[in-house]
Amino acid sequence: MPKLNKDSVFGTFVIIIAFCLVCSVLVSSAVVMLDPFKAAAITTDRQLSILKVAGVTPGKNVSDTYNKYITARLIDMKTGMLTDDASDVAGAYNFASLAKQPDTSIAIPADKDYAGIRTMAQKMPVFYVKDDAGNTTRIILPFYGQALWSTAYGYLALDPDLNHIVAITFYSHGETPGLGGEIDNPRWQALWVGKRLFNDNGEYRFLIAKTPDKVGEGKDYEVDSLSGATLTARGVDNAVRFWMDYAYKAFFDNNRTTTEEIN
Amino acid sequence: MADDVKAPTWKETLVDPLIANNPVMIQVLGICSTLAVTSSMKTAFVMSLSVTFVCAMSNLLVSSTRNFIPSSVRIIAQMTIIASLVILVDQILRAFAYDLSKQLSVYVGLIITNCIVMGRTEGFALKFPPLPSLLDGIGNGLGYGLVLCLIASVREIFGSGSWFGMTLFETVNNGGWYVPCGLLVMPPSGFFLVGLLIWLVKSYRKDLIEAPEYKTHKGGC
Repeated sequence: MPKLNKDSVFGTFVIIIAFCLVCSVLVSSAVVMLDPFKAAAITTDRQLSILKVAGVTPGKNVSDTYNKYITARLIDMKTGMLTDDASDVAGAYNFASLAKQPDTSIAIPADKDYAGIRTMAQKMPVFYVKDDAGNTTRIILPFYGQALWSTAYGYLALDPDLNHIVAITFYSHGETPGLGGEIDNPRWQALWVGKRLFNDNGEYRFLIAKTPDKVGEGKDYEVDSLSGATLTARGVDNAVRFWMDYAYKAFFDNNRTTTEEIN
Repeated sequence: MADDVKAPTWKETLVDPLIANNPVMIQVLGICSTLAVTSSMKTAFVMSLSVTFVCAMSNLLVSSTRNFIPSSVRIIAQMTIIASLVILVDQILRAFAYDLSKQLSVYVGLIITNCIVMGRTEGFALKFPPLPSLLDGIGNGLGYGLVLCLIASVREIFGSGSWFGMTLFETVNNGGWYVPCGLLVMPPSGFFLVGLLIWLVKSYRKDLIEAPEYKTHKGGC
């Protein structure tokens, strides 16, 4: 066999093609082999965030704890009704990517788009937290919106009355650590606990304010803003306002009626 | 390969890049990621490990295949190797350290464009045998990691009052006494600290100051 001249045109092609083949086989096999681990890591990460706002301490096996206490359902955002999808489908529902596809999303009217996200998915998951006796103790709703540098994604856990906040967490954001990143600070998140979203007339009243009303009528609704993170806090405020006052309105209305009927 | 090219000793390849020929402080390469991932120790440490791995392995692979790489497309061949390794690292982080890979976000992928890696394969691995190349890759990765960890220590301790996520000073936000220095968590502070570090090293090691490349006119107006 004649020796291949590596610097000839033919040699260059042969060698580069060989290089690329070897590298692409290496990369694609690594990606395929690691896929189950990646999927598991993403699921565990989501379940941990939900358990955190659910107020449940995860046991040794995160998914066992999750399956025991959390039931996920999907809300049809147009009607506010729950769909028949099973808990695992609802839990893994990727609303952020479905919101970007035209046939699975709803355009948000510009005057209502406080969160700056333009479109939302046609369905959104809702997570019901059950205690050991099977009673619903909390209802967790995902929300997201444009903060300062990034889209912040979070979960808001509400009392079954769908008005009092019991916990909040953010599971993905790209805000500056130490400034906007302080939205992750447990002490700030603790300020949210016990606040109400709606006043007695059912109007949205929740607010993240620079000087919150701590004594008067507003003390049930207002959370102190973050110093040094005005724009991030405003983004979070707008995101919560959009989802709770507009996007989930039909769901809230339906479920408030149901509660009254039962009573 | 010509025999008259003398391969460097292990000390030159492994120890020199730590201070005397540090890729960040002396060669001033890889500054972008130095600013981006040094706000906390955890991200800086993982980034150091990733760059060391990529740098060492790409040096080894490029050096092993250096006699086959056509010189007209050598940059592309090196990029192919480096990019494959970086994707590998990114995938491993996503699978086994999901939380950290979320924090590092795009910067793992950007190791591909880190000039240190490319600089070492092009400047060293193409000329020398695999073993010195491997050592050179490890040395440069560690040199980069050393600077990263030094800067991240300062930034995390004084910017967030913690180190590796362990609280050292209780910050005011958490009910403690320490008022964190907000500037240190912003990317520009990484720039200032790199500058200070270079100044410090060069005033201690005068032999590292390069001769001026041209003279400037010292006269008045």
